[in-house]
Amino acid sequence: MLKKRIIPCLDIREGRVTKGVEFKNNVDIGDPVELSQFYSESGADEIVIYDISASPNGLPPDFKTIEAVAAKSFIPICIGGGIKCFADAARCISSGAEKVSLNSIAPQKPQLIGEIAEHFGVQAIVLSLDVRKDPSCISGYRLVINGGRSDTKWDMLDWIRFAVPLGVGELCVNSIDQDGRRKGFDNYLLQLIKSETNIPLIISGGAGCAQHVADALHNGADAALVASIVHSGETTVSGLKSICVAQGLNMRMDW
Amino acid sequence: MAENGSLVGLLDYGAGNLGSVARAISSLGYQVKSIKTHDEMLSVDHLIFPGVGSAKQAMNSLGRMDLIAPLKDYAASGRPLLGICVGMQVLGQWSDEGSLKCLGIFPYNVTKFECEEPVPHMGWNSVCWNDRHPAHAQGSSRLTESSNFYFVHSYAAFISRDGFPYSYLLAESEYGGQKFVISSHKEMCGVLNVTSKKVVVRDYNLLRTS
Repeated sequence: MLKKRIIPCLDIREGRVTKGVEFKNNVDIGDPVELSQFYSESGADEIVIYDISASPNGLPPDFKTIEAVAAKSFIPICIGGGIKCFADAARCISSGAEKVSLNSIAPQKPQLIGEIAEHFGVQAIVLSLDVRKDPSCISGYRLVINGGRSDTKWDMLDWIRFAVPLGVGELCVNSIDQDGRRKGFDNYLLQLIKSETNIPLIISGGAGCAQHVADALHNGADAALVASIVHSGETTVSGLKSICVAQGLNMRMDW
Repeated sequence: MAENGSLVGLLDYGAGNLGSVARAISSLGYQVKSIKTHDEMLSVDHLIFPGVGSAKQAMNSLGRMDLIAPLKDYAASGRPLLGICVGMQVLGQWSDEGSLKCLGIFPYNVTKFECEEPVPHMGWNSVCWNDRHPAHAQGSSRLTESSNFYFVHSYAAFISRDGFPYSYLLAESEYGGQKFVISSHKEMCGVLNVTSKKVVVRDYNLLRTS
C-alpha cells in the first residue's frame, strides 16, 4: 500500500539552511549536505530543497549543493528556487534531483511547465503555490509570489485549474498565513484543493506538533512538508511517523 | 549480475542523471563505463538502460544516436541487459506515454493508471515478490522479504490488462486496485520499475540479483 510521506524542507540561503517565520527573520540551521544525510538516514521519505537566495539575486539554483546532497542522500530530492528556464530544470535533474519545483516563475512563464513535462514527464514537476487568505477571491485564497511579497491576479483555484493540465505531477501548497507559526496546517485549504484536482498534494506551512501533521494526512494530504518542527530538534521524523502510525496512517517505517 | 571487478555499461542517451546509478554499480564492486555509441556497446558484457524522463524522449534520443538496432542486437546476443524506469518502458512493446512503439524486447505494454487515487503514483509502496521465479532460487532469499520502494510514475506495465506472462515476473506492486510489474526477468534481460535511482542505491541487492 502507498504510504503517506513526511518531507523535511530545507530553505537554503547562500549555501546554508535557514528558517524564517512567515518568510522573514531567517536564522541559521546548518549545512545542507549534513542535514540531508541526517534526514535521509532517520526516516524522511524525501527532501525538498528551496534555494531562497537564488531568485531574489537573479541566480540559478546552487547546482554544487544539489550534487553534494544527492551523493549523500538515499531518498528522492526535489529542488526549487531559481529555476527560470528549461536548462535550469535539466541541470537540477542531471545534478541528482528527481523532481523540480516551480513557484514564482510559473505564473510568469506557464509554458515552462509544459517544456519540462514534455522532456522529463509530468511526475518530475511539482507546482509550488504560496497562497494567502483573501476574501476578494471566490475560493478565499489568492496566489502570491516572491515569498509572499507580491500578489498575483490569480484566484488560487483558477490558477490550479489553469496550471495543472499544462503538465504538473504534484502540488505543494504553502499557506503564508500559517507558515512558521506552528499553529497547524490549514486543513480547509487542503480539502478545497483535494476537491479540485486528483494529483498528489503536499501541504506546507504551519506544523507545530505531530498532531498537526497527522491531522493534515488524515484530511487527505499525501505528504506533509515539515521544517521548524524537525530542525529545532524538539521532535524527529521517526517520532512524527510513530504518532501517525498509532493513529492508523500508513507510513514507511523501514529505512 | 556480474563478477566483481567486471565492466558494466551504462547507456548514456542524454536523458537525466546517471550519477546515482553509476554510484550504485560502483558500490557493488563493478567498473562502470558510459555507453554512447554502437562500438562502445560492443565493448561491454553487461548493459544497464537507466532513465529519467519520458519514453518518447528516450526513443527519440536512441534514434538520433543510431542505437535502436544495436540495442536489439545486444539483447538478442544473450548478454545481460537491465532496463530501469524509462529504460523498462522502452524495452516493452508499446508505451501510451507519447503513443509510442518501443523496442519489443519484453512482451508488455505500458499504459496509464486508471483509478480514483491520485495520479502520478508517487511515494513509497510495498512490493510483493514472485517466489516461483527461477531468479529467486539462485540464492536471493533476501528478496522474499517485503520492503518499500519509491515510485514516481503515471504509467506502468499492468499485469491484469495485458495477460503479462507470470513466469517472467520477479515482483509486483499494487496501486488504485491495479497490479503492475516492478521487476521482470526474461532470459538474460531484466527490467525494474523502481523509479528513484536513490532507491536502487539503497536496495542494491535488487540490482545485484536482476
